[in-house]
Amino acid sequence: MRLARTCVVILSLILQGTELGAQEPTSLVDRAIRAYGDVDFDAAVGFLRRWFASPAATTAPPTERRRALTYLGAAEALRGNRDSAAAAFERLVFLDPRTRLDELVFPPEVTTLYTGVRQRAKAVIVEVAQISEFHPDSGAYTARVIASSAHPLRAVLRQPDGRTVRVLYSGFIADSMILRWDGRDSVGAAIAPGSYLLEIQSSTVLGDAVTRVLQLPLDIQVVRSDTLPHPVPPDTLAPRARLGAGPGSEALAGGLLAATAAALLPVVLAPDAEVQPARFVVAGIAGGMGLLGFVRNFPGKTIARDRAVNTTARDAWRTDVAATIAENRARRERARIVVRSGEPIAADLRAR
Amino acid sequence: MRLDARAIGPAALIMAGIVAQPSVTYSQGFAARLSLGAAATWEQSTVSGLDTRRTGLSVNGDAIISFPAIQLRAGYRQASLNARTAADDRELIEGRALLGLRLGRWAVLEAGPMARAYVTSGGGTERWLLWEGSARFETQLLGPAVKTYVAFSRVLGGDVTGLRRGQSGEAGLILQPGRSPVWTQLGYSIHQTDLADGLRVETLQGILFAAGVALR
Repeated sequence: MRLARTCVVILSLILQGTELGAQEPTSLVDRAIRAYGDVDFDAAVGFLRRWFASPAATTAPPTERRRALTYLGAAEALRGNRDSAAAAFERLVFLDPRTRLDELVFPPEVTTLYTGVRQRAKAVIVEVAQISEFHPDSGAYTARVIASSAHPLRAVLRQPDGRTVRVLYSGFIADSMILRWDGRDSVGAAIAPGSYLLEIQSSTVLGDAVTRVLQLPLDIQVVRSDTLPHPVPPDTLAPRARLGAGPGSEALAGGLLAATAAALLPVVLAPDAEVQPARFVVAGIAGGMGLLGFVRNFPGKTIARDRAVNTTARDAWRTDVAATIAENRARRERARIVVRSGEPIAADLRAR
Repeated sequence: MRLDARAIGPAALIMAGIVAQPSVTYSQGFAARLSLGAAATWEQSTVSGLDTRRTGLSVNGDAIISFPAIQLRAGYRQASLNARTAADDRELIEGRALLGLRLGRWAVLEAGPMARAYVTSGGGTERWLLWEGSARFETQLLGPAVKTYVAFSRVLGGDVTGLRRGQSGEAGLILQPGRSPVWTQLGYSIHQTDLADGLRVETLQGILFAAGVALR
């Protein structure tokens, strides 16, 4: 029984310790703010630096980090450490250029220092949808760029090896802007699917040096519509364009039979009668017509009517094929582009 | 009517065709053909080894009504035949009615009576009644515009004294250009009848020019 109580106490202590550990970072920021309110700036800075040194700071939400940096900069400024305050405010500006200090909470020397830092820091953040889908002809990929202060900016879509695919913007940014990309490269061709980088370069006011680069990884997929199958060639359904042996043979056989009959009928039917040579006229004409019919319907000869039908069908087929190719090309060009945005990575180039 | 035993063969052929009628190809509908023509006619009449030859121009009329499998033919021929001596002149008048059975698009088997009358210059009239059976073959030479035909007939019997045999043949061309209903015909025909055990042989030959109209 005693052992069980001991185990319960130990377990409760362990759980309490875990709970205390989880609350410690929040507590540090809260305690720092409380210390700042008590005008104990040294304690406030101490609590905040301990918090930033802890692993929890890296996983904390941006709002919490923004709050911590704000009070760190303010405390350092009120302690007279302007450089440390400026450094904290600069991190705050890089974290979120939209941040404004509440003049009802912070004294003028703090807000003035922050405003100065914000004016000097040339940085942007980019807001994009995690997954964006659009048709190149009717839509575009959009990215909202928010700047700390006015400065020259250049937005480029690059391949991972650094080659420029398209320059999306080159000019000044004052507060914020919307970047649009229609899914095409610099020559207007549809882009190939793959991995790309949206790179935003912030420069000094004079534009003589790039001070900060923000890269946003993009995974671009091109989803194409199904294409139409090509029309069936008409040859499989075409009437025969050449004569068979039937008509010619029939004409020859019929003509020769009639000629032979006209010539030999008296010999066969009335051998003892006086025959009339006029029958040879009929025999000759019938035989000649039979030969003519054979020549005109010579086996293998092209049938003009069928050839015309085939030509018409083939022309119609070619027209259908051309229309299908055009439609398929249009469908390929109307392909949907799906862009998946990754986590932005920023690099400060001033130290270089 | 007396049937010639030697003519039973063609008659049996025609009867067989009629029996086989269900297998006939019914590829054509109702049609009618009317024609009127003239024929240069030569007649050779041999009686007891004595030849009398006559020539003349005959007027021919023909009408055919055809249904998918059968056809009816009615024909008429009249000729004034002149011999070397006017006393031997005579007039030929002939009529026939044939019921035919179509076998495919090539052949027609026909049978029916034929009446022939010879009117002599003296006013006497000799009448024959013969029963004929014939087979007629027709085929295209230059499409449907030019056709050829061959027909063989045999006398199956008749009401003629001393009839021994009779047979005839005809061959020619039919021209019907385009879709015109008008057609023309050029043909040669020969008909020989053997009477009185060979003591009398009547032979008729003719070159026929005819024009007609086809109704469909």
